[in-house]
Amino acid sequence: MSALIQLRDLSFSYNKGKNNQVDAVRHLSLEIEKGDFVGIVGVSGSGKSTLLYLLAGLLEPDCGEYIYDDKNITKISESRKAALRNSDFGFILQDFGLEGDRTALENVCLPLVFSKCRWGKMKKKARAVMERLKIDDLCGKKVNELSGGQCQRIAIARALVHEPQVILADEPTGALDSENKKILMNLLSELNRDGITVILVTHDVSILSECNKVYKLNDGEIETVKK
Amino acid sequence: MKTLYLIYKSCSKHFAKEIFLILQITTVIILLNTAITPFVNNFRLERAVLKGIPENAVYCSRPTFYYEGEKNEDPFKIFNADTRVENVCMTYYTSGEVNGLKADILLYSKGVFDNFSSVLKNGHWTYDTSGIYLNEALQKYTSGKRVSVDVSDGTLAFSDEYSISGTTNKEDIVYRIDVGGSAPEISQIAVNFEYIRNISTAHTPFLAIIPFDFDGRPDLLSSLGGSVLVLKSGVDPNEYVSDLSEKSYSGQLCLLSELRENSRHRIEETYKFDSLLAVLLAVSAVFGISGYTYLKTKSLQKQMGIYKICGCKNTAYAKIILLTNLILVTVSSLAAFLLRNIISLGEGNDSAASFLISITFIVFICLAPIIITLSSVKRLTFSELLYFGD
Repeated sequence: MSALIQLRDLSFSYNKGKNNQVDAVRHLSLEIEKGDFVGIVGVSGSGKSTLLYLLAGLLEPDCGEYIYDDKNITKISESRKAALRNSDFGFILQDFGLEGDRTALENVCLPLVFSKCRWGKMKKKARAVMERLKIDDLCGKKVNELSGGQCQRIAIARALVHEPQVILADEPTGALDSENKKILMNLLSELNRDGITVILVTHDVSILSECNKVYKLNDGEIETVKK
Repeated sequence: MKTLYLIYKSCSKHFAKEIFLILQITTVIILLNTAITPFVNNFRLERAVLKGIPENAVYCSRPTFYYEGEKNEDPFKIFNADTRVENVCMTYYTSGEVNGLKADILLYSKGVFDNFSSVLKNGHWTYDTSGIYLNEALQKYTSGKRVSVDVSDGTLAFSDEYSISGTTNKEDIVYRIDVGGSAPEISQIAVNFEYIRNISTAHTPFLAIIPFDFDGRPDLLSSLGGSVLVLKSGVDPNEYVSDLSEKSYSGQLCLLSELRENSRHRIEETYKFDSLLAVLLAVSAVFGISGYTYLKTKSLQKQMGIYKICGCKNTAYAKIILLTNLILVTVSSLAAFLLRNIISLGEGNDSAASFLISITFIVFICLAPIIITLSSVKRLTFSELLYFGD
């Protein structure tokens, strides 16, 4: 059985062809199986977030191939990539990526707004996920009234509401204290045990103990740390 | 439903910014409409003259602009003093549909119906001894006898009391005529100047008196209107005008060249303020409204990043922003449309063409920054998009 994610000789540069060209990812090859908990570490500017955006189809690689679930992502249209993000990927960002003036429930519902989910079912599904994460008491609260830990759990709820296969977490613990870090990592491990593939990008090596695979990115090149 | 929800969510708290923008756009549309109307009308007059109003004509009253009180005046009144007008009254050769049938139509005084009975198609026609009325407002001021005539194989049967009202469209001088009694059918007829020239009668220097009104609003005369005396070949319009008693015509009759000159003169002398206002409004609208929509779209870039990770397509996001602004422009345009009938600014303020130009300008300056911003977003990396607002 082929891996869920296969990257073959993938490269990406910012400002390609200009004087200030930055090679963020260089000839990277990688395989991630379904159900893996992958940690990608590296210093700031090593290309970790770029790799995550490439995995989500938010950036177009300059060369190489990206196969996801036997589909060549490098060859599909922007709108199909958007549809894939809506069905298969859940995103957790360092700054949470939430809309501050909306309620927690509205934020959690957001991926469903862009899906084919019926209007009436949206809130029901969002509430169920929030109950599972024990944040259902935050439903009606505006995001800008909540703490960092609460915001990150809402971001996780949003990442889970459309039942994705893969969770892409970009420095998810960056804005959290040590207690909330622990809670978050336990949550991600629990999700991974439920069969969701988790790809975590961080510069904090202390949170990688849960990962079954760890890669290190250095100036856009990858090396395996744990397999 | 989902699009409406996203549009609602892209708006500010209590729609405060949107209401402010609507007020701003409405004001600009009304003022711009007022400011450009004289220039638009002048252009349309020039175009209408070039497109077919004959050279050998005399123009009566309101060559370009007139005051509120003059809107309900009878455009034929000025000719009533000339006995020659009474003899000719109206001569129209027209073509169009009457009672659902295509037909050639001649409208004239009773005498002309008698003379031309052989060329009239069978049917039920109406005419008016004092002319076809330009609009309903004019009927109140004109006491012409309204007559209908039935034509059957060259035999005419006249009867009284039918009303005729006329309006025009932009391209031709076309009249809508209500034919019949209590439930009149509406027909359209178009004036054919060439034919009028050829069927002139010997006893008059006129071929026709043509009322013209380019906006075609039966309830309200537009600022561009009046009547034209189309003269027979060989009749010098200059001589005809100088032959008339000045007292009767108050110098309101003019030749084609004078009509143009008068129009230009008024543009240059009277509408300096309007032109200045138009320029100032256009500039302020570009900076104000365009600036606002540009900044608003820029500020939504973070939202765009969030939507993108949630699976929103680029086109869907563009649709949300464009629809939001289109709704704002539509509401503003409707408000301006309603208000322009209430607020009367300046002389000759009312013109559908200038109103449409004003709205087109607003649509352009509202949407152009959005399109520029959305296309520039393509060049941004995802991080730049997502963290723009931070």
